[in-house]
Amino acid sequence: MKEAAIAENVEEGLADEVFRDSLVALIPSLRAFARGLSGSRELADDLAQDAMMRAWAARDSYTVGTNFRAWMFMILRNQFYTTIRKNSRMTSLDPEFAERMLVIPAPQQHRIHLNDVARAMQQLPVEQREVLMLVGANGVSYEEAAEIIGCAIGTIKSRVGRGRKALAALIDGAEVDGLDQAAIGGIAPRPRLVN
Amino acid sequence: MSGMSKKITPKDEPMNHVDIRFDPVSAALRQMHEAVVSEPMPEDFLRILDDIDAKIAARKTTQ
Repeated sequence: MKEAAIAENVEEGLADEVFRDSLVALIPSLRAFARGLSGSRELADDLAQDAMMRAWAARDSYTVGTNFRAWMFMILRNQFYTTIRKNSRMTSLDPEFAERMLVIPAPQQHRIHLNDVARAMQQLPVEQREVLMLVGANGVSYEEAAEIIGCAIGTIKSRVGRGRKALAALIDGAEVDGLDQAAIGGIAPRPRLVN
Repeated sequence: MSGMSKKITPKDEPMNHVDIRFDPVSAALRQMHEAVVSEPMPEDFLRILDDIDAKIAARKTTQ
């Protein structure tokens, strides 16, 4: 991350450029996080853009040396919760996004369709969805996720565990219901691994 | 190299090998993320960055 660079350049009057570059580097992750939260390309990009503009306007409040990514994700997450209270569209999956989903390249026994996963994600409680997007999709650590969400690490771990279990069950359910079987070209049952 | 166990390479694995370490949920989440990350940046974002650049340039000229 660019926290060190920001710190080094504050006194040289270059902080704005470094802050801008840090923002640019995070745009793909911000868009992905927002997409997973909202399930909508359009709304996700609105959220990410709002977060960028708010961050820029509030750049003086960023504490140099702290986690810039966590700070940005917090802004985006707050924006999401503000928006979701006003907008019921946030729970619908963007059909264009679903259409572009690919089959996971994996051993045949494990094949599932991302369309099902994306749809299942939107059925999860938002507190599980956000931790799965942060930890499972974005590779954020439990510690960083706890910082972003503002709760204990144990709570994050618990939500990740419950979210993963619920997501797996929903994916299984989609297969049982035969959703998208034609488009997928057949899905092998999810593996039941014996301990 | 006698006495050393033969290193197993992927080509040695049977065709119907099932990788029990593979977690489809994790893979799906990562791929959902990658699908968005690999998209070209929409124009709206570029406009915001242009606006930021203009503000930075304006601040420089006033300093």
